[in-house]
Amino acid sequence: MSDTSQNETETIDRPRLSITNLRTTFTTDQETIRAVDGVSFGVSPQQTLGVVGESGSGKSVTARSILGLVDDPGEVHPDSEIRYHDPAFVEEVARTYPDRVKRADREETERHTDSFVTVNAGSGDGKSVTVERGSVDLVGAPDSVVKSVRGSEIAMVFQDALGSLNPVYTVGNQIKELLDIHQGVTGATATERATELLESVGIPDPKRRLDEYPHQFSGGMQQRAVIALALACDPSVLLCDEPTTALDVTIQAQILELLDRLQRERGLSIVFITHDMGVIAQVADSVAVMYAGEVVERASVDRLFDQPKHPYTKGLLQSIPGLTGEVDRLPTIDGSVPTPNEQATYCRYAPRCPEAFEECDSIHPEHVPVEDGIKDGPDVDHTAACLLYPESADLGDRLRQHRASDDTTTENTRGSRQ
Amino acid sequence: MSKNTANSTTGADGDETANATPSHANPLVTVDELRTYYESEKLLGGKPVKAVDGVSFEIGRGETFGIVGESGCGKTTLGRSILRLEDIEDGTVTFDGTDVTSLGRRELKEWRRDAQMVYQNPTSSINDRMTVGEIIREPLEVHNWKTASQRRDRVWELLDRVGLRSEHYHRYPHQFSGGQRQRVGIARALALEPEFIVLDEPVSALDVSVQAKILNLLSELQEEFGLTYMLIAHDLSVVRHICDRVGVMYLGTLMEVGPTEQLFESPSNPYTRSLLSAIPQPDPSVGADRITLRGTPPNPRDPPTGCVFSTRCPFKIRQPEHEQLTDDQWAGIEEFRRVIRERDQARTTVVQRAKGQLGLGSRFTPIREVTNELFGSLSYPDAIKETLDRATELVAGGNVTEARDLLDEEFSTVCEHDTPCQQGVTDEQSSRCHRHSQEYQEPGEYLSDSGEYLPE
Repeated sequence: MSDTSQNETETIDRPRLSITNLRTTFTTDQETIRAVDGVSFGVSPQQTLGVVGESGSGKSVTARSILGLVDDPGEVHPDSEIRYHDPAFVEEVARTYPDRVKRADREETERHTDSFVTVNAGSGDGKSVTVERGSVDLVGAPDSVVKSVRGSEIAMVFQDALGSLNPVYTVGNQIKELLDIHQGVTGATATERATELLESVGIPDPKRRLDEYPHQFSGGMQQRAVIALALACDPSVLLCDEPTTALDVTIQAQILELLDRLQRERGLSIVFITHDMGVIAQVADSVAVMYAGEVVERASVDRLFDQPKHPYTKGLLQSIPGLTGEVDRLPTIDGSVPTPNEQATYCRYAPRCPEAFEECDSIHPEHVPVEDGIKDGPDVDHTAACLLYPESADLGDRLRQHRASDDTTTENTRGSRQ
Repeated sequence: MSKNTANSTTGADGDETANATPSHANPLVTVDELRTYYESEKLLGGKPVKAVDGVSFEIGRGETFGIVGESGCGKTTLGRSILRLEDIEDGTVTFDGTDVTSLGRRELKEWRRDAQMVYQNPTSSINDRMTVGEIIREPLEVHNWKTASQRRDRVWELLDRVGLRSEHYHRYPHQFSGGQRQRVGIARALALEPEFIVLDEPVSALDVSVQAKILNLLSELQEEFGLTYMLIAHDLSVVRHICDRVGVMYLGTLMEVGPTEQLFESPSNPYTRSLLSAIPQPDPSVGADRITLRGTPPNPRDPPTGCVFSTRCPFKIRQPEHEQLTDDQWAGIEEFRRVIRERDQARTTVVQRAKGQLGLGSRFTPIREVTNELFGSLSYPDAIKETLDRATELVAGGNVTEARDLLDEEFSTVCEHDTPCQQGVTDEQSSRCHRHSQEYQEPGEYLSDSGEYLPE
């Protein structure tokens, strides 16, 4: 109770959604595919995190894991953490599951092994607890909690707009169904709300559109309708999985503008998944570059395009036509993305990396700041998982640093498995 | 790939008689006023879909000619029409001096040795039940090319040429990645040593790093075999990288043609400008200083009168008394006209009409709500306000068509009356826009005068 004041200073940049060491595996008879292998990132209110990578790098599985949409044989590893930090929601869940709350703000008399709600600052107990700061871990949470998060707190916009709309119901029907399920709104009120929603995503003459079927909408309108569906329950985080990939540039520009406006109006946190570096440059505040299930580089958007550090990011940026100016041949990356089917004890990019050296095959690189000893400025959050960094340290130091952190993570995973 | 290094000269603006297409000394492909219509409901007196509506251009030997445009603008149909994979309505396609539109069945088959196509979707354009060897061998067999063993050797040679290995001969397509499948498609197109290949979005389905490899392969092959390409794409950065000349299509019409760099650096047509400014630049320091087009391309079954782009054009010519309106004011009017146009076209069932007349609620948002939404925060000069109010009254009274006519009367200009013809902007660049005529400001001047992207 007393320590709430001292924590207030850090509230500004606190993420609304944070993911730590997310691992999603698909087990088949032959092998275990580690589609997402130790991904960590966070996104703050009003911020857009861009997740970029080639197909097969695990971008979409990451998003689906967050919402618990990974189907059998896929499985989110129980050690992974997906934390949602909205105080109001945490309070509600803490009151519903009082015996599964972990109080990080005070000495606990009894320990709960199966707690999934963490209260970092709050007061009261049991069913009358108030939470100022805390989080819900969606990996450990029961299905009913995950279900209440889905749509109402975190919503998703998929790439294939027509595929995510039901072809046999009118658009209005689908929005109203959603309002009914999540908020119990029906009848004329629901129609009213649905009209407002369509209007807010820039669909002209919304009332007429409510009675139309998805196939009567153009591609851009369909995507707008999907965004309207996603926003129906007023979520605070929006996961956008390649929302503009199937659209023409002029329509893409409209949708990006729309998302930008909605973010400002509603204070949304957006996780924007795409393979298009141009779109990333336009929408993102910070970027995570994914390769073979791992995040290989994290930086603010300006830093990433200005000074890409990881060899993969460099290669990716160079292979965009038109960016390198007048060249006859585009620089390419040799080989193709490997399927991550074993624990990485090496750098997964090493076989294709022009800068690889011997140790790349035996040490798994960890995220380190690209430059050592920087306390503030734009560089402080720029990290890369590559043995070439931190740039200022010499090779021996770098290897030691990566090896040490590698060992601890492996031990941790091993320890918790027992 | 050799870029045309033609210098741009300031051309004869507004010269109506200027030759539209730059003349190549000896073009390989000449397309003249090509029209392809899809006619459904013909018996019922329905209108045809004019997928390609009077397109003319030339492709020089060894050149890469790009066609860009939004989906549904007719670029794929254009490519297929040139190869006579579609029945054309009118116009001619001349290939190396021969008019291919008049070829008979047998001659056509013979000609197809010289003109091949690579398709967009590498998963559906090759047969999953045939081995890669069989797929690439098929065109050779269809055309009875040499002996069986020579055909096999040829396939091996082709596999090697497109960067696959000879053991891939007996594998099936599902064992390949998207990039490798596209290589198979390219090998198949190359099998009969064609001169001309239509590449229909060859890299759209691929990741950037794979895309770069396929683009490099295409460049190498062009150099080695002296191929002429027509590249259809919606990705403008790909087009800029690979093409010598580009044509920009909108709703079945070629809006602008010109050498790539010239077209990207100084686009003259309003549509080209809007399209280029919509490309997200992979550089965060570039501001979002773009022209965002409102709405979507109109239905090709019912194209707008006059210029096809007039319903979305930010550079549209206004009547002199409307020049002073701000962008927001003008946008409000345009949006209002769009809503009314859509309502006028929307088919209403008898039941819906009856319901409306009985006051049982309409499927439309009440028009006054629409106008409040559109014009709520704007104020207009009295004359315009009066027209808008009158139109609103007409719609409220159920006379949507009259309202539409009234607004057309008040606001339409040459852009909505006449189809602009293709005019030379510079020696090699030509564009379709009324603003190139002498009595109006050029799109570029219009921009610089207003000081902003859009007129103030």
